[in-house]
Amino acid sequence: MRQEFGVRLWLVIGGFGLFALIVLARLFYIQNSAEAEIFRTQASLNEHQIAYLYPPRGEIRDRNGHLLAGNEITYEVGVALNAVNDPQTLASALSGTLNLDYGEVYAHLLHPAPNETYWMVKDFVPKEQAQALRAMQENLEQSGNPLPSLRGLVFREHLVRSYPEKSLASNVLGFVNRENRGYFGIEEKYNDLLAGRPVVVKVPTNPLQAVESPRMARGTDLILSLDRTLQAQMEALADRALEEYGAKRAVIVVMQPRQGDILAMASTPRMDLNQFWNYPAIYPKAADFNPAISYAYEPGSVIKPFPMAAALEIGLVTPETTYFDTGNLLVGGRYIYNWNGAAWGKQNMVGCLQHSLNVCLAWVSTQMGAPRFYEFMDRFGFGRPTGIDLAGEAAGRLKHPGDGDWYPIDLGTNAFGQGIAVTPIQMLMVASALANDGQMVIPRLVVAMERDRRHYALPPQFAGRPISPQTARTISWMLAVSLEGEDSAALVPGYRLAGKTGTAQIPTPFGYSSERTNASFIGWGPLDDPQFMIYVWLEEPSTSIWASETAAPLFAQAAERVILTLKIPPDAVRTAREP
Amino acid sequence: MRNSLVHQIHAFQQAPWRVQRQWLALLTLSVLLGLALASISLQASARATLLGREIQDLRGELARLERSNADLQVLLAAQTRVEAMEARARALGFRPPKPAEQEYIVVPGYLSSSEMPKTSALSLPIASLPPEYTQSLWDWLQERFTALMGGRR
Repeated sequence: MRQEFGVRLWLVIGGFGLFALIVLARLFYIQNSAEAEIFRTQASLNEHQIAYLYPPRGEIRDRNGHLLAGNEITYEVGVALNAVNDPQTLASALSGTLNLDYGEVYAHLLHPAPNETYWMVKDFVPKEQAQALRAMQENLEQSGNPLPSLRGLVFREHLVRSYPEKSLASNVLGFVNRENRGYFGIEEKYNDLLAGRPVVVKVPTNPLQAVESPRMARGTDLILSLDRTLQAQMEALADRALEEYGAKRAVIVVMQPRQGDILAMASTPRMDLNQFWNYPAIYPKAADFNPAISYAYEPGSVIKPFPMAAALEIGLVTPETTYFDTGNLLVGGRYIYNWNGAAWGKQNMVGCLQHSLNVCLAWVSTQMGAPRFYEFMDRFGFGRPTGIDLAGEAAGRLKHPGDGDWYPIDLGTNAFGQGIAVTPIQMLMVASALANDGQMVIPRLVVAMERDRRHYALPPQFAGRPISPQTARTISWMLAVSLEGEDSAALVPGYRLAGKTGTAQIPTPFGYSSERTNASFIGWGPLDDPQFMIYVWLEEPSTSIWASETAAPLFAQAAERVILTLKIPPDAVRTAREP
Repeated sequence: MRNSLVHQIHAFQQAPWRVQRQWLALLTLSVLLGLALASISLQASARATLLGREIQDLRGELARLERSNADLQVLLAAQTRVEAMEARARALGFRPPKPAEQEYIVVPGYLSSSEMPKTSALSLPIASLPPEYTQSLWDWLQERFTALMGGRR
């Protein structure tokens, strides 16, 4: 009995053993068969999914924390082709909601490309449209009926750049295209910082191998020096100036002279940055996007304080130095005339600036001589970009003796702003030397960065001291007296301001046009404690060619808004307050 | 002693089923051990799988919340944009002031906002991790050593 049991037991054991051997043999055969390699390849292909993770682009805020550029949710709408069971309804819903051609969608759903499992129907679909589609899909699923159905519809949520203020400060911010690349302004200049670093991740499909999320450096947030309220006010003023003075273009830039903070940079035209694809239609040339930094033009008389400052610095003149104006001056074999062609007789240097006498300034520059004159113009930074942190800055042009296109008469004309090209931002930087005790500050937009919850404040940067504090204060005083002596339209009651107009004839292939001008004004204040500088430029104003009748009153309006926004008390209150 | 061993060998020779029973018990024990190990492994695998899925879900949720936060910030900014605020203020009967309408009062010792140094435009709380999360082993040893030395002094 026991022996019989033993035989049976061995039979059973042998049977199981044989079965196990067969299974093992089969496994061995499958592992090493010709088809095994195909399966292995398929498995390795599906083992991981490659995912490109784009960090959210850094935000841009104004100096008070108001969001100027952020990110909003948008959707990629696609179809998982294997899951579709009602192509007609799907095609109808997609074409109706996303404004697509029904026939094309339906044809694609019926006849997808070979091996196509997912069809990306449309990307950057607004929230409203995606939500409408999703609601339809859910309603149909809840109805319980197999048809109609929107099975297979897939929504992928991601972020896209958004500008809640639309066109506000558009010329400063620039824009971001669909590939997350910045163009113009801050977006281009700081693209690498804002965009962060995209990360390529191999995500295992096997949940057992769930890997830790890679540390993705989020884009850096930037805090600008702009004050959005002031920016809006300056833009409104620029827009109004186009109508009021019939100008082709208006630029108003407000800067703090001590730190170089740009508080407002308004220009026309502007664009809704959320519709960046309209850019070519609005701006025929790249320089038109932000003329405050990209457009170099002959500034005219706004440049006069600088040769005068140089002459004061080297002791060639004092404010009381007199000069007898005969109405013309021969420089380099050609005559230079005053703006009205008149002779102004005996004038001191304040009178030269007050009446904006070309002949007087040409006399000053010729008395200085070309080497010293151009040495100072170089010290002021004419002909070089300021280094402002915006993309697309133009350098302007300052010819030097020895250049192929420099003529001796340039020594005279450069002193009153002809034969030299500057940008508005360059004029502000140069003038900051006058308003800031001789120290020239580099204009800036980004005052701080925030990354990984850390705040980095950026210090202001300076561009040298071309003149002494004494000269700077003297020239500021001369300009203030000039404005008051002329009873200029640029004056603001209660505040002593320094400033200078500039009416520059526009050069044409046939000489300077007497009817087309660039009207500019540069000014700062309060005189004893400058807290703001404003540069105004009107291109070809048609109501009057004179800056004193166009740019100067526009400056006054801008200064009023700046004073109110910065809450600067009138001189009488301030001086009473100070010990 | 020797007799006892001889007796036992003899007894097993007389009853070979005892040896078979021992083998069977050993086999059963091995199978049970294998089953126990397999079940532990299965449980650990299942738990790891569940946690892996949970991590993936949480990661997805975190990303979704971050997107949602960014979106809500834009929405808020759009609601409070300058143009909208100005329109609302005008609708409520306000208008921009004129310089002459502004009244300034001298407050001795007061510094206006423009006179104060600008720091963060955003008041972000700076997260501070306890040293356990940031300290290396070497740092910790140094700290302990310093504390020990300091304590002795």
